[in-house]
Amino acid sequence: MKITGAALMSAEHLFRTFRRKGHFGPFADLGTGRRELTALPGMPVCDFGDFGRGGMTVRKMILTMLLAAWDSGDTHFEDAGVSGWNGSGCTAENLNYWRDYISNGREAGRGGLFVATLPTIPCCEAAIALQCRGPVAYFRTRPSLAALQEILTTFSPGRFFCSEVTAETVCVFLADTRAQGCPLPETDTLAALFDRLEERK
Amino acid sequence: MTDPSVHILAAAAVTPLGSTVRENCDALLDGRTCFALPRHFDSRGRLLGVDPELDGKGSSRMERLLDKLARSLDFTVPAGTRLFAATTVGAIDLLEQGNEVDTVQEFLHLAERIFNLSGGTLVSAACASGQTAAALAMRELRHGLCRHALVIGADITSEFVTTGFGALGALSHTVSRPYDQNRDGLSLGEGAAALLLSCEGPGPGRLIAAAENCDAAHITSPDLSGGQLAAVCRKALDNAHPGAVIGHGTGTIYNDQAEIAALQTVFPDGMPPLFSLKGNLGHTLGATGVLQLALGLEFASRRLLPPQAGLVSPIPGANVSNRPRTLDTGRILSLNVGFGGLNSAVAVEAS
Repeated sequence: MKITGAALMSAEHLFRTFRRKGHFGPFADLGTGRRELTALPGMPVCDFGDFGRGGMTVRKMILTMLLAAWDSGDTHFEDAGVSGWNGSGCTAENLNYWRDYISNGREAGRGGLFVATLPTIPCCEAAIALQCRGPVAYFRTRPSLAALQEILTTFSPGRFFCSEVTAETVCVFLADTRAQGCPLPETDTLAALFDRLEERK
Repeated sequence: MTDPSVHILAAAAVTPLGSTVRENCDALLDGRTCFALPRHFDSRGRLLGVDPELDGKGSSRMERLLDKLARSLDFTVPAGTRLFAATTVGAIDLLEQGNEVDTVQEFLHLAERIFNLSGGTLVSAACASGQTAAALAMRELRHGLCRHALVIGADITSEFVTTGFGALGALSHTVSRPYDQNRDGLSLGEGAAALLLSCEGPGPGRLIAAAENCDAAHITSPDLSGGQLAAVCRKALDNAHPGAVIGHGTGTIYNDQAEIAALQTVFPDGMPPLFSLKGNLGHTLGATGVLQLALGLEFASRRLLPPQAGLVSPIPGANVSNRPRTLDTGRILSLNVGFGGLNSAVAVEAS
């Protein structure tokens, strides 16, 4: 498996990319971040038509995945899949929907908040934005990069965006599971892998 | 080189209609349904495919469902079997009870404990979770990463999910009528199923192939052309002709329209007999894919397809019937579609 691009958004809303060694932000808000990042030379075409539809998690995911795509130097991702792995899942989104429903007297839920309760939604929104038509799924395993690599190399050969979303950070790697790359260090999170690879460089 | 066979050594299914694959198939062939008002929350008159045996206090409804599935197994799970657990929202009733927990993590922990298997993999791909988990298990077996795999899919009925689908306007005002011209939405249901897979056979059937992709078009609506769904169907079939298609068939306007469009593309000379479980059981979400494979294999073995429950006026071009039909081959194509534009197709064959 070969890593062809990666991006990390920190708790301070600072974005870093791996291969191009880019540092961006912090931005006044994610809308400003979107405008500034899409102005970068070589940025892939991205459909931001529904950027405002998703919550903060979705917007962070789209921007981080866009930067990982840019970091790879590729411009088209139609064959690529998108996966989510571990992280904080959608506990916050579940609570958000349920508390809103309860606070409205259990009369009616809000569809937009409900849709966000599926763990695959950030991946799907990012897939729509970058027009990725490969498989999309969320996996939870023991916290081990080896476990993730087993899934990625067997689930769908080819290019795969792999994401990890927590309350503070978003990390996205673009991997080509058919290509031979350097062995990856064993880490328990993608954010830790990003840091280790950055140190190695 | 052809991929090594992945054998289905055994299957289990628990729904309001039965606690074994055989009981469920008999019920479906009889055209029975299970829609009722739930007792564990106020569904505001919505009928659900609800299992009263899961009512109770003290533990999680999801725990009771998984316990029921484990008790129903009439086979031994070999030591070292790898667990693949599929769900959409997991033990969501814990959150309803005020526990601020990660409900899919809780689901995985419950499954690991109840089936006595550690180091499991949770797979969530919206309503395509079940088949996606089976596909991952099949590929890990083919890569030699495990000798046996237990794939389970489970979801419960809940106020959380019912109000959510209600807010999206996706629920039927009566009950789900898949592939009917006058369908008006889905009915939710609950259930669980399991498949024991191995490269060492034989068993009652085989997983032949699977494929997944994403429409990348809309977050809640499928691509009505069915183009991406047709692509996974072709890939899973690999030019073989199935005896029947177990469709996703939720009974929503858009889902069924997209599925029929996809199947007309894949089978321009006439689609095979088509059937959806959801007219009998409701939409069991993360369980539906595993249920479809478990029950589809039994239909293939019997060479019989149940009547389509709720069907009065079929969608033009849909090969559906309100009578049982015989199958000309023992191969079944099963489809799942999920929010986010997720598509999954799996081909299974009876031995």
